[in-house]
Amino acid sequence: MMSYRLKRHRKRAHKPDGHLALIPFIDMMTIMVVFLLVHTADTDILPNTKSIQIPQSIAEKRPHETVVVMVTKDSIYVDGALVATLGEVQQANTAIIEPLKVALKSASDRVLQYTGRQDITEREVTIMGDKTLPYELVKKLMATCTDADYGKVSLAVVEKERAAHIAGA
Amino acid sequence: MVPMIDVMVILVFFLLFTAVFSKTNILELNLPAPNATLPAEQLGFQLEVIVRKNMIEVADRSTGILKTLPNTPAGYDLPGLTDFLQRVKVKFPELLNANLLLERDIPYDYMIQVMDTMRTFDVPDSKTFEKAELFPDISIGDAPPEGLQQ
Repeated sequence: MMSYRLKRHRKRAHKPDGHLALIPFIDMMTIMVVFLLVHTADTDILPNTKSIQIPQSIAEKRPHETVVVMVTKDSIYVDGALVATLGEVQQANTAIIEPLKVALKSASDRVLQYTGRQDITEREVTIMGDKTLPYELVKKLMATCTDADYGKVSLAVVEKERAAHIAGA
Repeated sequence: MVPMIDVMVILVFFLLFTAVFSKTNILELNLPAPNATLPAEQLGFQLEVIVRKNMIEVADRSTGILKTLPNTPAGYDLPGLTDFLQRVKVKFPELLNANLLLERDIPYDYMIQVMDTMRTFDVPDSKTFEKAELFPDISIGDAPPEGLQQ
């Protein structure tokens, strides 16, 4: 004859559990949260590029905090603020883009680090351009950046996946 | 316990939707400062890659065009360019700089692709995707009109 206590214990132990297994669930979630937090932390430097398609490249340098010139199919933005439309640029037809130069000059006071304000060769700007832009416009952008006293010009690119690169080559 | 799980679920969804899974990198250019004096014309071999609407030309500034690579149906003949540049590199192992000259309406995308091709090449027979250096110091300029020798 089994004791009442033991019987109750067995009954409880073998009862099919109606609840979700919470502890592993929380463990998994914690790992996901940590992973996503770390993952998003280092991609936040350049703005989201869903509105434009920037070219792919095998360049491996990581972006850092700079003034960002973003060029979509029809307008130019400096750090998110609209400065000119490509129609205007086409009409003006000058070697440098005047409104962009003005915007870059004022942006340099806000964004740049102290050394960058002193020494123009330390000033940096990143150009994010849509991949369909003609070279003529890219040349104007680069000329404007150097004319606005930015010593270092970088182009933003999307990292090319190795497999795609090999298949494409 | 339950409120914590709720918060976690919301966080996971929020982070998943805002996550950007393509990595953005930068390509540094070396542009001359606007008031810099023009460097003295160098003697010897100066490599130029000229991108035109329907071909790529590889040239030496003083002697003229070395090779013309017409477009293949798939676009620019980048594998052909890699092959030829590797042969140039064998002849001039010390050379690091090259000029990239483009016509006015070449899309930006091709500029980047050609620059990538000029910088490095994939080492054949390597399973580790090794890359070797070709001409990493690239200057950018306008293409001379077609058929005109400098």
